[in-house]
Amino acid sequence: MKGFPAAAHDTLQDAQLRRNIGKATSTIRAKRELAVGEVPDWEALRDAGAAIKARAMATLPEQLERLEASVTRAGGVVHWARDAAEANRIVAGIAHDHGARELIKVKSLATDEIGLNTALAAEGIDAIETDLAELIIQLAGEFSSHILVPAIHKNRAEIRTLFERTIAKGEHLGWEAKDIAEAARRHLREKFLTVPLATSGANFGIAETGTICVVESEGNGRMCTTLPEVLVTVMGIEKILPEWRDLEVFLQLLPRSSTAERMNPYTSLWTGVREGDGPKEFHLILLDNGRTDVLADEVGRQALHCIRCSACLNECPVYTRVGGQAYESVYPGPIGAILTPQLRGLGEAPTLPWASSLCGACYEVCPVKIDIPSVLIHLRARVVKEEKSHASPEHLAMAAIGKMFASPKRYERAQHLAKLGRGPLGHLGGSVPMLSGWTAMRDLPDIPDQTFRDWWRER
Amino acid sequence: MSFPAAARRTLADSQQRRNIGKATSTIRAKREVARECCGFGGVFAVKNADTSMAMLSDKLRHVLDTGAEVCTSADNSCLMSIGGALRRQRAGVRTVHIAEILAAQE
Repeated sequence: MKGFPAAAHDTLQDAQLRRNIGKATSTIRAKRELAVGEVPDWEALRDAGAAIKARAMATLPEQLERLEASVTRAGGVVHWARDAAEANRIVAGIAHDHGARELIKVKSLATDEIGLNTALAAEGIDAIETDLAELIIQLAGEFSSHILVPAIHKNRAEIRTLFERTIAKGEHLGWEAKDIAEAARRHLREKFLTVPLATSGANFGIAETGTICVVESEGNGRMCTTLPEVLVTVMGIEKILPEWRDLEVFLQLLPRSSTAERMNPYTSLWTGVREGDGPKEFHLILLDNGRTDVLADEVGRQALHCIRCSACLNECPVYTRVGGQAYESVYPGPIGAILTPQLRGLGEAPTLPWASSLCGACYEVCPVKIDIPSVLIHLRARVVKEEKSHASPEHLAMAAIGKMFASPKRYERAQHLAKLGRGPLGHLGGSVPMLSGWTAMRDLPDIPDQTFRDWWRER
Repeated sequence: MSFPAAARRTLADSQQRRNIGKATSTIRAKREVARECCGFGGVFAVKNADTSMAMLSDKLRHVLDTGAEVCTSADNSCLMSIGGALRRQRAGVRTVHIAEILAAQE
């Protein structure tokens, strides 16, 4: 890990990437606002979403056991995975049991998080992404830059060239989007019909009924969850919903927030296995991988409410400039800045809580009202307390400034000293080495002749 | 009129926002442009200077595109950042806090 400032420094150099992301996100921002504006009880839906998630997390052990019982009753097999390695071993084991050398995948962040494709490759199993954007990323050997549209940083011409080098070798593809997509369609259709094993993630897992739900736009997910003999779902334990009726709230919140659609094109729901219909074998892997640690933090735990809609990414003035790759995680953007350090441990991603100007745009659009700015500030405090040296110049400067702002008297004295060019505020006019990032583009303000307080007293 | 960042969080009451909007009903940038963060964010501008400058560059372009002579906001920090860059560029646009405009109307 380079850390956010260095990684962002690199991605900001790529003008094409900035243009691609800027254009795509401003389009989706405008659409989302319209789609959300159509719903008269949107705010009530957000409250309901937040309340359901809070209940699910407060009763998590009980809900997970309910889910296990109902999935088992419906003929599925439930596995528990403490971490990435355990989850990957379980998937590889199932593949080996069936002698599978290939596996088709529904787009899934959980499987990206655990590095499933790499782990399977080491076992001689080829994992094939079937979501168009995931396929593009896989063929390019790159990392995703967006939760929902992983190839958002690539434009049409770049994708056309990539396909002509890989799945459509020797062909000349047209310039229309549908001509380029057709190459992927031909490639994938053959895989859907021949590969006997599939993996998916889960948008929702319903404890009451044992039903798993995946929402998607392309139909590749529907193919993967119905055609193969064996289906393996990797589900983060926070994706659980207690009751069937809870789903109604999220099927309204999610599509409008993520793709700005009233309803997503494909909603697949399945409950265990059924004779003569769909896969003959169904495995559900319940993945912890740091989630119970997140749950232990009273402020930070709301990050687990996330339904991966990506509205906060599209809205974020930081994300839309630097792109997803600067966050060095499967989870980029504002939600990534609070989720990654908590899942991996603060010491593994200590710069991410500062990857935000705290403007609050993410909180305004979050369909389950995750207060991202407050969690960011909370995590900053934790990093300072748990990870940083208390003798650093930054810490000492902050301590001095903190003292100055703590009482009105001290603040006023500092203001008057500043006029004489002394004290903590007095350096504003001169060059301060710690502020070199600031002064690269901006002049520092002059110290005014009269402070606001003095002016107010004179009136 | 720039309505960014912290100002949006602190002025949660939309009536307050409307009042200020009414009092300054001169030239206003497009909403989408006006409400986007200028990239200051306290230590953010120092710790993530490159990203902050990318955000501020866009903000400056949007401010200059309006053709306004004065740029105002309810947030002093935003004004310090935007104003500092306008000064560096000798752009000929002044930054004035919203309170100064309201006080001048008394």
